[in-house]
Amino acid sequence: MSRYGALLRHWHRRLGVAASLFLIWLAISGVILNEGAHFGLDHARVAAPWLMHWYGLAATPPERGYSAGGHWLVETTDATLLDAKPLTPSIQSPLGLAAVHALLFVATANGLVLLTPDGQRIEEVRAPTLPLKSIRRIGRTASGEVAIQDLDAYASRDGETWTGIAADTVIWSQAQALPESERARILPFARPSLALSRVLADAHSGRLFGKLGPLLIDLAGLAAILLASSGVWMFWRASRRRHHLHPR
Amino acid sequence: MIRHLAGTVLMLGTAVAHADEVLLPPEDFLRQTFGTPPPAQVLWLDDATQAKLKPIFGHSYPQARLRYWRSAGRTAWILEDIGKEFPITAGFVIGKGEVAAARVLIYRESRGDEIRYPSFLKQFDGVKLAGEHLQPEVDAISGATLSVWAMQRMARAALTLDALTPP
Repeated sequence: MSRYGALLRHWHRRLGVAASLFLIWLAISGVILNEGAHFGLDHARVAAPWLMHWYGLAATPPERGYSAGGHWLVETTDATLLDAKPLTPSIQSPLGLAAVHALLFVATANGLVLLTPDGQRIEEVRAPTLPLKSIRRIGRTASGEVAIQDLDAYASRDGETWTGIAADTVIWSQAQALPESERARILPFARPSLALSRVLADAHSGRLFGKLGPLLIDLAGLAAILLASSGVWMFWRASRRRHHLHPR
Repeated sequence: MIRHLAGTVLMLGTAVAHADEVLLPPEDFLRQTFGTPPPAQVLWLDDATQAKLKPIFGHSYPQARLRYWRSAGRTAWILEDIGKEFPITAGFVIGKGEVAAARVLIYRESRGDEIRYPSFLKQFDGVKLAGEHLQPEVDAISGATLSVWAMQRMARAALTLDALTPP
């Protein structure tokens, strides 16, 4: 073996040992990321306080919510809560709350969700059942009907039959400051969480480990290229030497 | 570092919040199906009905009643199911125990929206229930597996619900 070949073999071994841990980590995390959906990992979320602290996320209960009929509707980062209990399924970006005839109506931009007072979903109605394709606000009329408005306003006693009304006859639902007692009740649901796949992707790319993380992963990638190249080179040289010593 | 990570988390959150995409408004789906849509009918999801839906979705359908539309021997259903993180709203037309049409109405996931394309949705035409499966099978789309599974579950639910409604 030439001096050059011995040196290459020496550094190939050293580089292999140095890069092995990173490459194994990249391989394992890559496989988990790729196959996570099959094991339900893509639904999983992590909320470990130390990890949230590492990401710079802290529990912050919202300061405002919608109140009607003695109920509070509050949206946190990960859930929408009725009286400090998460609604299932969640209601994204509620626009207001109205309580009418032992029913709760929650407006969203495209529909109206009917709930029982304990938060059970009866249904979500949209156009054409609703007279509006989009909703801007929700409220309650003086005669106890639920009202919705985009441009025109409509009122209903049951959410089924709607009639046009004058918008200025309605008390519209508006976000109000949450009492401290309610903020304390929703604190457990205001704790941040992250998708496990997101954390894994950050760990895979090295971003999770600070500024040096991506650089180390880049170096591991470079090491993999060098290992592959030097391995092929040494294999090629060894084959050529064998062929030279034992010609067919 | 922390600021960088928190920033990317916030950017991701913003992207997710804007992922709600109305592909076909429900009223247009009904108009395409029936011309002039018939009045909506209501199906209460009682314990017996939920018992049939639970094996399909893996949980009870998360509301107490559903609206459906019936005309000329066909029913139309607008259902929701979560693909990965957010509900997909889809419309199914059922006739003679078969799927006559499937459409994605509102898509909210950040990826997997290839299920909106006619080449995928056409696979549902003529699909029937065969025990707990659809027959013929609906092929998955690489990268949109969870959305495809949600569409398959909703198709099974629509066929099941159609069989439960009075003619």
